Amino acid sequence: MEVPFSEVEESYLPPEDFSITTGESWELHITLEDGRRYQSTPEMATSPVSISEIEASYNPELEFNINEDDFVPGHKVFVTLDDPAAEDNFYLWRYRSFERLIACETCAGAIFRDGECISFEEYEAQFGPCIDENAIEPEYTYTCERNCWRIRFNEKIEIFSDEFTNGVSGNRLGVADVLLYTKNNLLIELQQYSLTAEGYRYFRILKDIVDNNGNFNAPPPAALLGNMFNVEDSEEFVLGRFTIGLASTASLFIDRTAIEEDPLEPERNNIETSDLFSGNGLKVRSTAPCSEGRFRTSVRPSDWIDN
Amino acid sequence: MNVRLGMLVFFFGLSFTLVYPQEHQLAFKVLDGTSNLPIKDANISIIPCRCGGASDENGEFSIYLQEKSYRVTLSFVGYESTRMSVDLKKDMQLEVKMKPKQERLSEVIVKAKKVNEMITSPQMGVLQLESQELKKIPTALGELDVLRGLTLLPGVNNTGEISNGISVRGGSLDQNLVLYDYAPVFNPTHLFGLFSIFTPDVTSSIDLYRANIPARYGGRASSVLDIKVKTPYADTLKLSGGIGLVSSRLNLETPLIKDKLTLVAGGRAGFTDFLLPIFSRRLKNTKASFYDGTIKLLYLPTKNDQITFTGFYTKDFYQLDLISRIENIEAENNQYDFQNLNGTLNWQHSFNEETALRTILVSGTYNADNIFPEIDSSNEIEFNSRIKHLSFISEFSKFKPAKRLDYYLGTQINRYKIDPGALNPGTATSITPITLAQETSYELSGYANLNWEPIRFLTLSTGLRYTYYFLQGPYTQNEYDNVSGNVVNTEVFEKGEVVASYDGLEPRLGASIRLNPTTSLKMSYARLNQYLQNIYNNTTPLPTSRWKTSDVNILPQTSDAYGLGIYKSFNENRIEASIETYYRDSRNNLTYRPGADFFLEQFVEREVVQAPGRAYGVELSIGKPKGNVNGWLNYTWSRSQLRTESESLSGRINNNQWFNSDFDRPHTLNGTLNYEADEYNTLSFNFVVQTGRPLTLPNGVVELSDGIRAPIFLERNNSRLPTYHRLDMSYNVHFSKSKKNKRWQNDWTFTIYNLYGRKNPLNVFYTQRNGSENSDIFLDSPLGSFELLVLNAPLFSLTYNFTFQ
Repeated sequence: MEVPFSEVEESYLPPEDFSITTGESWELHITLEDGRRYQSTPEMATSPVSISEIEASYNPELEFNINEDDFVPGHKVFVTLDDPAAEDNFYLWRYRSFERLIACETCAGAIFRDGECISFEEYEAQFGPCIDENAIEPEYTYTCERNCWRIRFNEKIEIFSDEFTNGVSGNRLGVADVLLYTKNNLLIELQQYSLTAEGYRYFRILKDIVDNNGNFNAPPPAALLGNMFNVEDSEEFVLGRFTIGLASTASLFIDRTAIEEDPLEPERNNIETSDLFSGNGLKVRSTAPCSEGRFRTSVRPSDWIDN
Repeated sequence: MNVRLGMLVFFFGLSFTLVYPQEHQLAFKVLDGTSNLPIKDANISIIPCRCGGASDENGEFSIYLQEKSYRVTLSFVGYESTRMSVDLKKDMQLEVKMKPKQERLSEVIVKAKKVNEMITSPQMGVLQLESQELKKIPTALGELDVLRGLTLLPGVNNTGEISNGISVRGGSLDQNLVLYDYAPVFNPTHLFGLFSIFTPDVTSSIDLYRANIPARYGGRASSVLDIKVKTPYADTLKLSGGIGLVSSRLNLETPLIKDKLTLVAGGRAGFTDFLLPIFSRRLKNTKASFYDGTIKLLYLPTKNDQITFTGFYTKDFYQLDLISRIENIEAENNQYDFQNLNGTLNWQHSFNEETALRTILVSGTYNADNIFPEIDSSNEIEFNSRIKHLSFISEFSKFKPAKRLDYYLGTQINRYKIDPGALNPGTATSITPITLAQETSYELSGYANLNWEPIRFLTLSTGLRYTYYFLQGPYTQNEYDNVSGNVVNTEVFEKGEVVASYDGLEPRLGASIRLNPTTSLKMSYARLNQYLQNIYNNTTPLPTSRWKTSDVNILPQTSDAYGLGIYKSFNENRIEASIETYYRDSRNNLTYRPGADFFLEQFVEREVVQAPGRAYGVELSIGKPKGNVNGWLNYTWSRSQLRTESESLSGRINNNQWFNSDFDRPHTLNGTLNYEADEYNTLSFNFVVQTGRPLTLPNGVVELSDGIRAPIFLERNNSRLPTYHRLDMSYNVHFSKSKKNKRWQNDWTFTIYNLYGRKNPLNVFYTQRNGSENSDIFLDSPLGSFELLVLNAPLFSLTYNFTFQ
């Protein structure tokens, strides 16, 4: 069976009703505009392993952050799973986190009108002089017009192989580091993918490149060669990998209101908007839209708990 | 030491007499200052002819020299050296009474010492670092350091401040045979490469053979570092020690039974936990401690026999957040714990003045463990690895001083038992115990070496070593598909069966041609085979890095090294200069396949690639060895490259083109300067400037679907770290506490390592950027780029040392 992919916002996606079940084997075929053809070796869908429990523990010194030049606080998320004994299992975890966004826009040296930050000079050039220079603040913050959630993603490659723990039931594994960017409550949506041995090896090289590169024993970086090849030229190095991962998902709501440590991002929860500029048809404005996208949504996450 | 030098000087002296016609006889009679008895074999060295020799049974020595002014130095073990000026205008006969040294040794001990020095005299082509010189070299935190001292010699490098060994002439760290009183040392450093492991105060000689390697050594492909422990030729108690910032030391040298049994014992202990957080908060979870200790017993059962026993023990324990965690074991942290335990029994029997038999038995164990404390539990999961080695050496040697000929022949049997790794869960139920199969291998060698001066002007050193190596079962040998790497065949060998065997002849050749009294030309060739290798995919190995014996898949490493050098002295030997060039052609060098992981890997052979290598260079050295102001300056131009020959794309490194090895350092300049102001004050400096280590920089960046930006690497070592340079200083004040009590002596050493605070990076790495942090530095780059530094400021230290004798 051949399934065509279609282009959506710089991504190529299969049809929405397309699904894969355990044991199926698929190949990816790519033909570029200039006729070069690439193909993957067959990739097998391995059975997902269900997550029996998800929990998080807070650590005021979760990890050393080089940008902060100090240890930073955050939660470590753990899952418990029953590792199947019959096979070698390889796991990959990714997450999306949702937190309520209060301030949807901040304009530095500018004000928010018509969906963008406009500098005062530009504003006055357009609408005539109407700004009292003594009243200008360095920046203006606008609350979200309606419910809005900030989406963040995992920043590390979290993988695990059961080479030393095959068949262990109730295996508790740390699968995500969620830094305390803000102290707003947070919902984690975790996906646990099952990989093949080759897929795991590829993600381990990726992990070495992305996460394990700043240490005394940093492995020298390697090319991300996966399972893709040029059909006409076996000597061409093709980067990237066609990976099938069947996922189990779990969600966890984390209440962070009682945490004492300062968050990594400046707190913007008490916004006193002083943008009172108006004139020539423009109104005083204190809010901004949610701007849906990869990093924001106004769609309430299904496991969100209101408080 | 004196004897070695004397022999060399003697050869050169004779050639000199032929060149210049107008001569007078200069004759000496050397006598003991107290007894007036003649001293045999006293060294007589004459400057500027750089000639001399040894006194005969009547204490006499004579030489014909040109009419000129000379400075003569007479020396002999147990006596103070005597210096004199001679204005040679006619035949002269001089009677010299040598004054016994204060710490006068008994006749038995002196004789034993002399025999020992004769037997252990090295060949030409050796770089020596004497422990006295070592003490002058300014070091980090005031720790005397053999390996770091060696990096100031031409052709010797390391991987930076953190280096678990040295690289000699572009070879890798495991291609050096490191021997400590004949016992191999598998991990020569404390604290992941910060300090050398050898007990500093009991080290007597450090010989580095990098060109003309004597036939008695074999088993590693690039060089031999032979470190000897001081033999306790003592008849009084001597106590010495030191207190430093990092470690404290104590040594004892004493007779146990007069003229029969003597002992030297030294120990060092270091606790650095409290120091490290000062450098960075990042080190606050660090735990580190280390110990080393050496004892050596000398037993003199008869006047012709010497039996020594050397025991060496080291232990390290550390936990460091800056070492990546081992994957797939959930733990609070990762700890490293390793020990060396070696014992050497050495029996030297001298049949007469010219022949001796040496029989050595070495046994040792190297244990390297990882400890993984389980989360929320008192249980510890352990990874254990071990190398047990056993070695027997029997060597017959003969010296014919009159004929300027000496030779030795011997046999050596080595056995290595490697336990590559076992995972011991303790009480953890979630960990499966794993034990990788043991590897037992043998190296059986026979060797002979001849040093000979067939004609004046020419000294030859020829050697031949033959080694038969085999890997013995039980063993499971896999065969792999060249391209896919899949196992295509498995063969199981029973206990005692030979799994794989290799043998090889290793010719060694050295020639020294004396062109004129101040110039000589030396040539060398050596073939070396290596059957035991360290496998790691970091710039420097961890203590737990896997050692692997050659098998069907991993072929022995071999190298052919060619050398040519010119040595010249100027200004009446006050200045010495040399130019050496070398080319080393090697095969089956081990390098890791891109993305390899070796931890408890069953099919480790699949994760490495064997590659031919080439290393070549020119080493220029100029030195002023003596005087109040002394020192040396070296410049080395060298290259070290490898090339894979892999069929599969994933096994290729830089698409099978030559690439710079981790030890490629095109330019190195280093120098040492000592100013010995008077007998109390010494000021020393050393300076190093060197091309940065090869480094892999990304060819691009790709954003993955979860927003992670990954650097794309296509080549290995396509760039370099910035130029490495550093200046160190040390100031030593030596004083006697009481002028009357000369037995008690003290000194203070103040060192500043990295005097001008150069920030030499150890590595460069990339981080994800979330938002605008450090945007003034990184601008709109998709990744943050950081340099990993060990030192970002000068490092001061003060050490107190004492000697009581």
